[in-house]
Amino acid sequence: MITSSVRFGCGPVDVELTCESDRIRGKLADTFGLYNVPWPDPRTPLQLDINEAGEISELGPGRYLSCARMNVDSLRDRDNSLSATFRSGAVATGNPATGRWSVAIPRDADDFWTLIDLESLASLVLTEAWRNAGWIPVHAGTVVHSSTCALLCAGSGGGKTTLTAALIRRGWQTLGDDKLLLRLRDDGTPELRALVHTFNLHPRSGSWFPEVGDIEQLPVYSEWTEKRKVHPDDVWSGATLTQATPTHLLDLTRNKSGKPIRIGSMTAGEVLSTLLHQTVVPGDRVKARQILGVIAATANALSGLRVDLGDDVYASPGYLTVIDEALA
Amino acid sequence: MTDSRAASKELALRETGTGEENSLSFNGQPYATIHVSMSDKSSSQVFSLRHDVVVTALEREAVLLDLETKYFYSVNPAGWAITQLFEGGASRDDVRSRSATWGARNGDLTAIDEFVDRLVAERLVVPGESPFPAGEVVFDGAWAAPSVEKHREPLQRVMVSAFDPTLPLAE
Repeated sequence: MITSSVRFGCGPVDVELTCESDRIRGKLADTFGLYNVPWPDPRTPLQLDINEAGEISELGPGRYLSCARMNVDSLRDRDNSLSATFRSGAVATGNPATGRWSVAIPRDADDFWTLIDLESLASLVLTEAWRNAGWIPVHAGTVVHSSTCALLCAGSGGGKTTLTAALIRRGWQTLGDDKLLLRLRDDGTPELRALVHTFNLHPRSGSWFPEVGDIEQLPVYSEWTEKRKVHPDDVWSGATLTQATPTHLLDLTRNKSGKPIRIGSMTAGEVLSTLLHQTVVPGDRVKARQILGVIAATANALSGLRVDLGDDVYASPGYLTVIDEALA
Repeated sequence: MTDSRAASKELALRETGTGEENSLSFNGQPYATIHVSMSDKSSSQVFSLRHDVVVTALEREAVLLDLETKYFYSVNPAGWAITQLFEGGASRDDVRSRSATWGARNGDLTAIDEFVDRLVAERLVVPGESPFPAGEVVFDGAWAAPSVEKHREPLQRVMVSAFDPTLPLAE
């Protein structure tokens, strides 16, 4: 077996991946390759070494972070290194400050769940590295028009991508539909950066966006969804940006009331709560304080609107005029 | 006071239904059963911000996040000033006297006590000295009664991934 390394640029982080398995390298290449927005140097190095192990590891308590198939715990006796354990039996140990991670996976490394767990691992090592580089990951979309930049917040399937695409068609631009980085500039104002310039569009939205073509024929985004990868610049020229200053937050909900769209205001507390729910806060005081500081200061700078979207909101272009007017 | 006497005091408060300790609600709904021992109500008992409560200041206000319960709270300027006293450890007497220097009057004492009761009830502050030294707490501007808002939805305990904080779907 030949061990080889490959490199990936993932926002402000430069990942060097070393492993023996072609399949694992291919899986992680797909994952790291999602972060396709160029980032200026210097970038923070991140080293990820993956090896097979004879023994599988038990799942830890997850006091630092608990995810669907991964628990993360601090190793207090080892310079606040982290240990991530997975349901597949894989285990990863790393120090976010140095960006060095070592991963042991069960010998049956081609197992479906091991590959799924490596996706979780990639998400962990990247978020830790981004925070270490001064950026807070935010799970939200964006639309931008001149000096207005609205964060679009909703759960998975809540309509972020569809609304983003619909507004792009009306002349808005975007940083992305669900993965962003956020920090405070030296003057205290918030700054957003793009990480991914690929949309994940559901085939059922094809009738609203005939210009995309046959969405079913596009590459699948992940094992968990029917969504397909769409490059917005290929469809709507000039659709993407790489950075912006957020001014608004839109909390998207889906209604069944029969009205195509309803817009209401949000209190400052609601804006804070919505934005804080778009990021992961680990159970570590220092990191939690860093995240809370950036999120709270950003929320303080945003105007919030609750946008209730009906099933037929995209049936007529005129329905979205109220969003243009509310953000003007 | 013995443990049994403290327990009966809690029970008595619940039975009478008249104590301020069991009347707190959030959006009209009871949100906690509150246990306040006699020692917690002592005006000289020192309280400190719990170790796993993190705080960030926003101009004159602040946000508190409880890493254990995942609930977070907003406090107004007077609430933030009082909260800072607990970072180094403070008693109710300390809070009252410092609040007086910041502009609170006798009529404000009830609101101040209720604010401290709320921090105690939510276990944002706990009895005992803080290991962290107290910093100088400054309050400027007009005094208004301290308030704390508990946000309705706590942060998720289990999430999809280290990037995606939404609840995972069942496999």
